[in-house]
Amino acid sequence: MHATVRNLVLLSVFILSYQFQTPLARGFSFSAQTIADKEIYLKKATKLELWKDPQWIRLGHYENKISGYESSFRGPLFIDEFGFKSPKDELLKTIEAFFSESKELSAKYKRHPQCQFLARRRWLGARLGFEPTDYMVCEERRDWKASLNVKSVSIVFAASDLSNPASSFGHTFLKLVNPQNARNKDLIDYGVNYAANADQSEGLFYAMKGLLGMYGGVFTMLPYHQKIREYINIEGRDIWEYPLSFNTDEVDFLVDHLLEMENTSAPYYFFTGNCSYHILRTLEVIRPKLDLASAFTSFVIPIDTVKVVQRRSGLIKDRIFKKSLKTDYLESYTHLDLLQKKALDEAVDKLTISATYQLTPKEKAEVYETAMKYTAIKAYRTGKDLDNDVYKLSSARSLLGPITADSEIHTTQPPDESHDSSALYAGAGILTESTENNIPQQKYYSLKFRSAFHDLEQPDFGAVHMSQTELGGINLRYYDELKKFSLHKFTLLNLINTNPVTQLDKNISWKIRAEIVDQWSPDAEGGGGMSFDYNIGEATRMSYFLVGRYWHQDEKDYLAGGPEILFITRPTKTIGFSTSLTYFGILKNEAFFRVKSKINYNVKQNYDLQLEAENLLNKQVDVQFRILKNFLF
Amino acid sequence: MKSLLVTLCLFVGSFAMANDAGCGLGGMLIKSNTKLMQIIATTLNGTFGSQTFGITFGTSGCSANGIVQNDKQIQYFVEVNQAELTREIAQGHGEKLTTLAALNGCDTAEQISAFNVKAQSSFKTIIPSAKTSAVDFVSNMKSSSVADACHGS
Repeated sequence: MHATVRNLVLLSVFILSYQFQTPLARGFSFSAQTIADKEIYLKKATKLELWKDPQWIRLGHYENKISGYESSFRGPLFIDEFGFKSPKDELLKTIEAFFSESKELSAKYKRHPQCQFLARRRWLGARLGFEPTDYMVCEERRDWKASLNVKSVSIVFAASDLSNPASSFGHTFLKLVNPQNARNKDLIDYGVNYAANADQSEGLFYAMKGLLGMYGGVFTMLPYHQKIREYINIEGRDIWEYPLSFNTDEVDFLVDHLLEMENTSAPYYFFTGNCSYHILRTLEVIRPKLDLASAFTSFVIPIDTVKVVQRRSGLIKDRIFKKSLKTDYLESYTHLDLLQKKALDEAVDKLTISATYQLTPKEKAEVYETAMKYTAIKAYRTGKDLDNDVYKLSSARSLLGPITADSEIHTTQPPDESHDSSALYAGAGILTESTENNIPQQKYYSLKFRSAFHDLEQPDFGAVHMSQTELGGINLRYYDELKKFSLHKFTLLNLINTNPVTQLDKNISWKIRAEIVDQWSPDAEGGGGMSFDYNIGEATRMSYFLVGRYWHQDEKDYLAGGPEILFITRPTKTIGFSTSLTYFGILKNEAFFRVKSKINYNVKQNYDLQLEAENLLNKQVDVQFRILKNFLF
Repeated sequence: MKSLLVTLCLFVGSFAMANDAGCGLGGMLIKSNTKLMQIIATTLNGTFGSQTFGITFGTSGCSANGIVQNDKQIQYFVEVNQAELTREIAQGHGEKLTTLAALNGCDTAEQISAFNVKAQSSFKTIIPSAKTSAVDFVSNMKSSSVADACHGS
């Protein structure tokens, strides 16, 4: 039976692919009139200097560099050998190719250049007034586009995994929407992705090569369900779709252009020339008046690109949320009562729920569903084959019948409303006197720039919960009495990742910090531990770390270690508070007990007020008040 | 399940070498799954496994030139999402199951819910074991007439 079905499937695949395989290999020729028209078009294009038109510049993904226009892309996008750095040569060559009978070109593209470069043809045809008879019929492309039937496009943001700060960066790609799939079938729409064509077997070289742009980035297309499966199920990342209000003509132009981009690649830089950057560049092709990519001078953080589209284009009117398996699991878990949670332990371990719990069928069903989701996540995460476990749980659940329903879509705050990733802090503070060391009280003003990403106490939707990701910070101070400027602190990174221990998972929390303080003294700290959640206010978490620290101060080196308690709480959505107590046993020195506290009040999306205090080794206390402006850098 | 899909993939692949990677993409998701690689990949936004690599607009599974053929939509969808569908059929609801119902011609909310109930009660028939292949999944679904539930019969 299976074999028959398989063979049938195979046969039809074979037949259909054969049909689609017939390129324009057969001979063709243009009329004498068309050949004459070509000369007119070439003259007209030259007279208009059409290669300077913003639309042409966008179509070639040219960027204005010091040496002139150059595209990051190489490959079949350019017909002319040096087309990637000469918009003019490429444009003239394109017109030549459109009316050329060269078999060589047609063989290279597997179709005539007119059918390969549909977006170029459409634009050039309109600008130069191509005669209707000069257009070639592109059946294969027409059929392909008809079956895709794209009428609108969305930008899709895969949020960060809430327990994995490594994914803070997020990811964006495009969704091509076929209105015929609107009723419950949008999963069979298509996703278009720009990603590095990397070899995962290269381990750590992968990271290095990625930073150096040694991989080629290419556009690829996959069914949407297949594209998001990786994010929703495997990585536990929620999905946000933002439909863009382009008209159908513009969307059609986008599809034409994406076809031109096939097999063309640009060096993929993970932090700059990445997925999100080239998605922006592609949107600019559809509507050359859009100015999106220029908003970025350094890191291109995916959620920031969504914000730029929102703020600069007005194309985003709506958003659609798809929750990840992990979010789904956490919701079902939260919904369980105490007895059900006990039964969950048994369900996960023994794949059954004993009668002693006396659960109603509905309560049982909820436990089985939670256990199924948990086991599925575990299988994805560990790579273990737990198919049998999930199957047993599913089988037991199915026998209980239709007694549960989809949980309502939980309305989390959308990531586009989160604070921007760079920030400027302006503040004033006091260093108290230290009688012991004979240091008088000092007042100071401070100015700090944070390149990315998020402070522990800031509202954290869209970021990893109760965690901090600070990358690249410069903190300057001006001491009033001393009339002295000082480079107070340079922060390379300061990451705190708290991940609570739950009933089923013993998650690890960790922190790492590397800074240069008071003009060129190193200060590095790191530690690991465990965190626990308490049901107080919006959220409350206690973390217990063991930390080690090395720093240099007053011409002495210190090596220290000890326990730390970190308390983080959010009494309301707009207030975040943290206190940490650290006991440093110091090598060959007296121990030091550090207390640090900070409160953050979020005035509106991109404005915060902060008050913080910390005691120093020399018994001074440093207290300062700051105003924060978050922005896109 | 994975190994079966890979087998199927190879099987189809050898047949349709000319232009098609075969209907077996479900088995190609994640190959290297170490923690370190996961962290690196998510940090740097690379995509893992061969999922997207090399499959450009031109070639894909039960598809021609990157587009899934209409009569292969169900097979393709099940192959990619079998694990999720197994869980959703068991609980009798979910986005993937709703999509499967819609692909089987269910339209209204009532029809979809009738499909879901029927699928749930046919769980053991559609998925007789943890190792049921996607091809068997689809043919079992057909032979147990789950789709009839939403056509009022």
